[in-house]
Amino acid sequence: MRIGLFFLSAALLFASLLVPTISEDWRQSKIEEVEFFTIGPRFFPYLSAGIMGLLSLLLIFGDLLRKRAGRGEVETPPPKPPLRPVLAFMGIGFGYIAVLPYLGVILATPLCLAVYFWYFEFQRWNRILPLSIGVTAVIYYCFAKLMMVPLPMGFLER
Amino acid sequence: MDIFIAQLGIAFQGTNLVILFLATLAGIMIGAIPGLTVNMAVALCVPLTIHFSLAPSLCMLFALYVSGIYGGSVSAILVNTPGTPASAATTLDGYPMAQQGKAGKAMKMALFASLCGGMISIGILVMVAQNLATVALKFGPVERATLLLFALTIVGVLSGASILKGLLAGSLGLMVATVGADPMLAVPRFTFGRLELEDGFSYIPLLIGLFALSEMFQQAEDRMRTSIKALQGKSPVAEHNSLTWSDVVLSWKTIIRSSLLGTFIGILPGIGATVACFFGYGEAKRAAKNPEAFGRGTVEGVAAAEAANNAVSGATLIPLLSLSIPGDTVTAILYGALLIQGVTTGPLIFQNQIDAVYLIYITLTMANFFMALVGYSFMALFRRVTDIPRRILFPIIFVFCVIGSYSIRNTIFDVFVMMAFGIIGYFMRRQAIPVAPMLIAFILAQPFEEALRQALVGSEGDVTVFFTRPISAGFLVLTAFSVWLILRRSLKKKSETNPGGGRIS
Repeated sequence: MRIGLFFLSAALLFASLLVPTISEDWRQSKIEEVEFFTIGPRFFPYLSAGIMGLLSLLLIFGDLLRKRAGRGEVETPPPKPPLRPVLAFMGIGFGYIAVLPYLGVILATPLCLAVYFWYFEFQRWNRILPLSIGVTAVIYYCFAKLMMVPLPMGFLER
Repeated sequence: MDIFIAQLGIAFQGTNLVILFLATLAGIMIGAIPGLTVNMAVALCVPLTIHFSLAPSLCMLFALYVSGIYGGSVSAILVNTPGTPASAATTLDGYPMAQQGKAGKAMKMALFASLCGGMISIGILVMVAQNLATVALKFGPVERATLLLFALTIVGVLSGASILKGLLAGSLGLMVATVGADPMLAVPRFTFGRLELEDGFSYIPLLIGLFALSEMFQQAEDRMRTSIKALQGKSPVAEHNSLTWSDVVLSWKTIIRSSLLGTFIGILPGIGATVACFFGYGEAKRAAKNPEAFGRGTVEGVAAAEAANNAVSGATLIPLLSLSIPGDTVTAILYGALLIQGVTTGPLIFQNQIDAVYLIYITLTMANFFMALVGYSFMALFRRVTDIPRRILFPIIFVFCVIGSYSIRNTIFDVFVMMAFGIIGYFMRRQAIPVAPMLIAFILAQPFEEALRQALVGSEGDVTVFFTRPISAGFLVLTAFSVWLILRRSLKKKSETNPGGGRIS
């Protein structure tokens, strides 16, 4: 039910974001006695949102039917895996991306790797440090030196 | 012929051979480590191809694809956990063989069957793709629109356990693809005035996010504590560690049957190697003289599963090359990589870029032979790979994801796009919504919109045009028929497992 409602809201939000004045979407036009048919840029987004809305309604309807059929029976949903470690993984990742333009790859990457290794209980600092620095060196060498990709260098660039 | 020989010369250049070797080694290792998938490996390496020409790019991606699928069998045999979902059926006989001390024999049979499956599917690719493209050249916008509708529906319907969830994922892909300039009038849609969104979402950060990052987020749920111990025992009986002539004689019919089944499944969009491997295994068991031996450790079981899953690799390129329809996740990623290299798939590729087609055939063949060569030579090494802890690997892969996404346009915006799609992909996986239909719909959205709008403009808004033209009507009937068949099968399965339930989704 929740998934259906989520997708239905997404479809409605998506459709409501379309500016209704971009152009006319489905009409017969006439310029100097020549008639022609046009389809505007909103047609496809409306179609996609419509499909998603319809599918969401089917999902909600199916869930309701299932609920009604299973009334009286006690159904325990399977336990969901914990979200906290994932949020921590995401948080460290966002932190890395946020500091990357300022600290640069050379400083931000070993820091990020060290934090990750520490978080995932690989807590031997005599291994964490050389591994973090070694991986950063390999990445920097491969991208910046071998493939000539300009990497963010942060304040070291100045 | 001259073009073919020229491409052969390019493919056999020293740099390409080194790339093939390294990518094959990496592919088997990635495939062998449970949790790391072929999709993830190929997605991560696409940014690298920007800095390469076509031949090394193809060598790298095909080697990762082909050897990654084989690599999945290593952990399937040694630890009873398929390294990739495509090797799930290999565990059924592979692990019992390893328990009997026949891990060496099982791994060698997996390698031999994978090579046979791959080569048979390449043969069919060469025979079928160009002929299919000749037919597709006759298609106008009406036929193209219905063909793409067929592909989108089938991919959505077949990709997950729930038909509606698969279709919803596809519709999400369509919606995401509408961000950016409209393909016909270049009117900006959903850009909110941001210049970075004028061209829509960048393809590579999106796929890295959806496949590599979301998978890592999922693996992080247990803080990557799970450790796996592989069976390393080598039998003192020499015959248990090697593949004998009698094993080949026993399995050759199974290998050919599974390869043909895998090829057929690979041509159909949305099904992929996982289904092929079970289908091949099931058919081998059904046709076997001793079906009761299956599941207890028979080489035929390993051969059936592995020949079928590797046969998918060449076959999925048939709809990609001839109709520009990526049938599964890896071909969707390859589609993007080919676009980066200036290769436009579709029926015209056989007229305008035949050199690229030959190069694809040659490098795919080479990737299969390198898989056999490297797989055989470094078998002892691959037995140890399954022990590498994920808590070391995944942070390193995350950094690669970030740098890879950044390197496309040198902007942090793309890295945030990757993170955003990683989060979307993770929550989709958490709710058992497949992510592959989203990516495939994202790719097919633009050609679908173009064909649909051209068809409707041509017919002056008359939608009956889709029903009155024979090929188009045929595709619509095929779409409806396939959905009906799948729906019926799915409902039947559900009523068998839950006789009292009335579940629809």
